[in-house]
Amino acid sequence: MDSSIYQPLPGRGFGPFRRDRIWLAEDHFLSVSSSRFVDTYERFYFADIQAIYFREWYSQYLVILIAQLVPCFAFLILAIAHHRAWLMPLFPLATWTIAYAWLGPQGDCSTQTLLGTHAIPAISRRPAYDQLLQRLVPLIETAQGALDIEGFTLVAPAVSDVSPPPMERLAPPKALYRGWFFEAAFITVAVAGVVSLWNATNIHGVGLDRLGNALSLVGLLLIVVALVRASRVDVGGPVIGCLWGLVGIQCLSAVSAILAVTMQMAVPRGTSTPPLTSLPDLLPFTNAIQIACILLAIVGLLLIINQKNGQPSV
Amino acid sequence: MPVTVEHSGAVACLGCRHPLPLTEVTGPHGARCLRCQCLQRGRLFHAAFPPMAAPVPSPMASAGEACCFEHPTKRAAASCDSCGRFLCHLCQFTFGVRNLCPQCIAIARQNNSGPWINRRLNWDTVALATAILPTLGIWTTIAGGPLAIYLGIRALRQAPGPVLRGRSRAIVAITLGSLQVLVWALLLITVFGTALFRGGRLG
Repeated sequence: MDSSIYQPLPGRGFGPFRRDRIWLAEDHFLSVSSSRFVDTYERFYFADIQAIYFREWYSQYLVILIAQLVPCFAFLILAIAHHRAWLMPLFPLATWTIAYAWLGPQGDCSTQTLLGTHAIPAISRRPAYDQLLQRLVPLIETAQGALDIEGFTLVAPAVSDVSPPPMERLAPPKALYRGWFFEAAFITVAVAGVVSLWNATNIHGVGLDRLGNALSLVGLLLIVVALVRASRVDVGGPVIGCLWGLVGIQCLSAVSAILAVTMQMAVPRGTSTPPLTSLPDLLPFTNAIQIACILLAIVGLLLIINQKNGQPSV
Repeated sequence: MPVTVEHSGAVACLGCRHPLPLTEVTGPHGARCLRCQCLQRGRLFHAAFPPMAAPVPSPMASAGEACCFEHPTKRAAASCDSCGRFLCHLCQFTFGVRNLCPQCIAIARQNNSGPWINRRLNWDTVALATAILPTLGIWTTIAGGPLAIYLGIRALRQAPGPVLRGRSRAIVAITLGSLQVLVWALLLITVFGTALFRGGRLG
């Protein structure tokens, strides 16, 4: 196939194990999703595209931004109060945080055709979505003709007055947590491993030990949640809710450990300062919560295995 | 959690099925789902509202003519580009440049895959990984080097994909593989050559 027929479109996705791009051709656009070793190509012809949607993740965006600002703040305190060497990790992290904030709100983009809804992983930011629409809309409208939205709203029901129907438990799509979610989980586990290795340097044994534990549990719980959802087994809302609650508690534990370690390390060592060997017990039941996390994760996995075994084979 | 077109004038959140006002979803600020509170914005096109015209009746198949797989009495108008079944006008769905049958569409919607999705194994990346990863363990380069050369040559001979991809990975893999083979060859010659030389001189 002649490669010159494709022009690059705005938007690209990066990750340790993925690289996504979209390309424009005369009568279609091509979504290329690569896992480094395998490229997956999806063609969307302009005449078939019914809609292009974008769902914004404001809450996740803010949570990630805050999660990046906390270590920035910690490194800044350490650099001011302890040693200038702490500026070395601060600069790349602050640059990354500023770039993350500047790129705009995150989200997921998808296009709808006769055959269903297809994700476009290369578009993960609002500005990229707007640029994509600017390029594609004229081409799609040339292929299909312009749509008069006002004509449809005349016959539309007053949906704002419609009372919400009872909640349906829909089977999540297979690709729900593929990609960014697993990457986030594995990166969290990797960071926990680095922190544990760092712990061996005896900078702050107790605090880093607690931080490593919390992060590793967060990563493992995220993987369990992903497996539960991807298995399409209805394990029940309370189990999923408890898992998410424990993820949140462990995240809080990690943040509190970072702040506590920072504050203790920022205090100049003196005769009146107690030795940096213990951390104030911010969460007295941390160990019990961690054991509960592991038990619940095991229960979730056993439920999956049990229900999967009970299902008739297709 | 994207939204899907449910009926004329409204779209529905895929997660909770709560209808969203069309004018707000397609507006500049998007629409927030009343139930799951996620903000969604979108752009609808004419294909989302297909004309509800009566299906074109297919002519009856006469003896010796290809007939539809689902309707044996109807004359075939096309064949499915995925499974090859003959289709009448009723069963024929045109998707892009392909004709698909209802079964293939149902399977594709269920599995989120289909004939319009192509996959390609990047032999150059495999070759590069084969050239680099075995260096973590010294002895593994005995097999890794030649394998990287073979995979690199295979990558150079691979047909190009839809999007242009450079040959640098394959060339780097072949170079690294050749270096590994060369190092092992020199090592073997040094060790065994010296031993043979000593053996010959002693004998």
